[in-house]
Amino acid sequence: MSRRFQSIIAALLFTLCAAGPAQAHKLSDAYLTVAVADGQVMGTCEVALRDLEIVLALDSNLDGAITWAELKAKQTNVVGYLSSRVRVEADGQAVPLSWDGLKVSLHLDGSYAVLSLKGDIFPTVSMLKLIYGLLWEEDPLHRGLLKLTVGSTTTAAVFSQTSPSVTVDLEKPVSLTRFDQFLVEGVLHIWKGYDHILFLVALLLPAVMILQLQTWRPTEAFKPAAMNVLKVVTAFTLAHSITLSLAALDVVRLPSRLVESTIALSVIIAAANNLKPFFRERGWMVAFGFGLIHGFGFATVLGELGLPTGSLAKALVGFNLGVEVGQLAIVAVFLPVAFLMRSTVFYRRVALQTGSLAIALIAGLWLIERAFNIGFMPF
Amino acid sequence: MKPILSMAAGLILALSAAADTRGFIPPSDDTIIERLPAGSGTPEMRHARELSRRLRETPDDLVLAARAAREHIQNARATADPRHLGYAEAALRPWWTDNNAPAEALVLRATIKQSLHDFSAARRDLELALAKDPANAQAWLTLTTIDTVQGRYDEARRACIQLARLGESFSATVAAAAIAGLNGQSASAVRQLESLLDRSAAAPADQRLWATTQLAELLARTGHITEADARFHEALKLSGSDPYLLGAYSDFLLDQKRGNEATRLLANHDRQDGSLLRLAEARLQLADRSGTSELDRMTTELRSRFDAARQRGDSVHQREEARFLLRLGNDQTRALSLALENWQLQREPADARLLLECALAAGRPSEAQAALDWMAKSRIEDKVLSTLRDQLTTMTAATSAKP
Repeated sequence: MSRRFQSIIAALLFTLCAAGPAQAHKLSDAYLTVAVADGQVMGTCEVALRDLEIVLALDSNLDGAITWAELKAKQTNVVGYLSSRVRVEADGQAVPLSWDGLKVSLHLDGSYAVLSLKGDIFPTVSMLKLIYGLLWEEDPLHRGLLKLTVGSTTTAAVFSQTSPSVTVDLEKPVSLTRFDQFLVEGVLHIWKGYDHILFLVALLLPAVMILQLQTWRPTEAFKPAAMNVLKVVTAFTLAHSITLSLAALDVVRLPSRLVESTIALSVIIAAANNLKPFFRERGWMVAFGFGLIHGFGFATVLGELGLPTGSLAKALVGFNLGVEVGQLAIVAVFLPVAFLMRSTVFYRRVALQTGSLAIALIAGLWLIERAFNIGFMPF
Repeated sequence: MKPILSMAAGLILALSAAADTRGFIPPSDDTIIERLPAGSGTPEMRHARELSRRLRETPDDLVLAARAAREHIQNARATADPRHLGYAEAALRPWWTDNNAPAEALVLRATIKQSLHDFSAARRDLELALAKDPANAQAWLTLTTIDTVQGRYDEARRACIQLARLGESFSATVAAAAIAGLNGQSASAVRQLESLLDRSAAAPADQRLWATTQLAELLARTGHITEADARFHEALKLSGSDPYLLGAYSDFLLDQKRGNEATRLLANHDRQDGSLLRLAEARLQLADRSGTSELDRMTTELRSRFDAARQRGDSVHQREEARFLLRLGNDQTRALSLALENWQLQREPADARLLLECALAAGRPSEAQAALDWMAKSRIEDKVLSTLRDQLTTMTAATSAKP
């Protein structure tokens, strides 16, 4: 989706929200989001218009409402206020920051003015200090909530009158490079994400079988079985790589509840097919279709890890490859065992039938849990 | 197979519209991006703000500072908007950390800290103030209130006696009745409050509001439902928007399964977490099928508000959050641990009830022991609490009877 389209939708949502539910009463917070990468400090600072009004008298015509024009008219004052009170020092030297790109954002308690900040630092800088001092003269209970990303690590801190600065050591040794780190996260995610594993397993269980007269019979040779597996895994990989990239690059975004519920549904459908074949042996198509949705699930995890601004592509490729490696490891264990056992009663009755039933049941519970936003499952 | 694929594609298209709302440019110059509470709000807020502005010229003017702080605190109470507490603190800046500050400043300091549930710091400030000025009635009143909230009834009584000696008979009577009503003397507390209200028709509305609300809650606890309802209505006539009253009366209505009335009562007050929580509970109670998406929205909103408070490091909301997790958030374990933490801070009937309910829901009756001990020691008369105690006893017996 284009930036322009995005902002139109945001503006629409904004109009709806402004007319809709009341804003929360809460203590005053401002949000400072800063990333340090590749010799640059950049980020945004969001301050509630309610709070800025006290300092800068934004409401010029005193009608109790602030229009976009009124805020724009005070842009210089807003920049002046923020730049004198939010500062960055690199190894004890002030970093000149440029402030621009006035926007508006929405939070629980109303609208905020957003300004972008940017500054250059030497790549050799070791200590970075952020100094904050908004609004305390007017409201000592005000807090600045900092989200600081250095490389691929994001940390949170709270600025208060008693702790108005945060110092970070940029040279803190990171044991893994960014690429490796995301590769490992990818592997771990597919192994810890039981829903992805169960989906794959449900699709792979019948790979060593062929369908005859609506029942599964063992295949004769290894090759067709391996081809089945290859088709399923490739289709799944292709699909989720597409959506993972789209989501990570912020082109498309889906609500996580919908994504997670659909993932649970996909597991049910895959397992149900083993009990009563309805998409028969075209598991790869199912793998592709739902792989698209699983990709969005991966993207949520990637988002939670905090994407490095400077090396997004590296992290993305690393994470994706990690998911593949993790997936292949599962297949490498699964395929030989399944192939050897394919003719046994155990495989047909217990693994294929009971196993699929169990998978469908678990996924059914997930579906309820996720669709209705209640938690009762241990994993 | 095809339907599945096209379904997935359809979903993606339909929902890619949920774009990022953080940071956008409003569609036109005339777009109203914010309505200011002080602009569209009350004259009181504008006045307090004006005092703060004048204070900037003469920050050391205690008379002006105390007036500004008092008005901001009053605004915080009237609207349940805690930002006003910050403005009040700003007005008191020159005296905020000074233990030798004048008693008046110390008492205001304590009031702000009390409102933020920093009870021990508030008590310290009050003790400092009373050491300087033992005749400071406001200090004794705030002290007796804090001690009552924390279940320190002997201390509360002592402060109350001092208040009476200073000739503050109205507040001393209400405070004493509040303590008596928690200590097995509900009937006499009710009589005291009734006669107080009868003979002081000319008392200021906020004082009568306080006494009437106390009386209504006391009647409700002891099962006098009709009388309680009538008193709540009297109180509403005195102020239709007092946050404490709205909370107390809507809790009463929810207990009486009158969710519709609770919804009407709180309709315009969902900016306050406490009211939104009760609105959501009313929704749940009505089990209105058309309202499930509304309930979802409220639950999500509440969750975000509690998260936001946690992000800044606040723990003011333990009572509300525990209640939320218990009744709406489906997290019995965390609800119980928050209810236990809250019990360390506040020991009012509502806190005891929360702890008992959480222990029951979590199936861990022994965790409620502290509240049961408090019930036994205070000899509180409260129908709901007694029922919960019996349920817990049954649960304990059932678990210990297992081989």
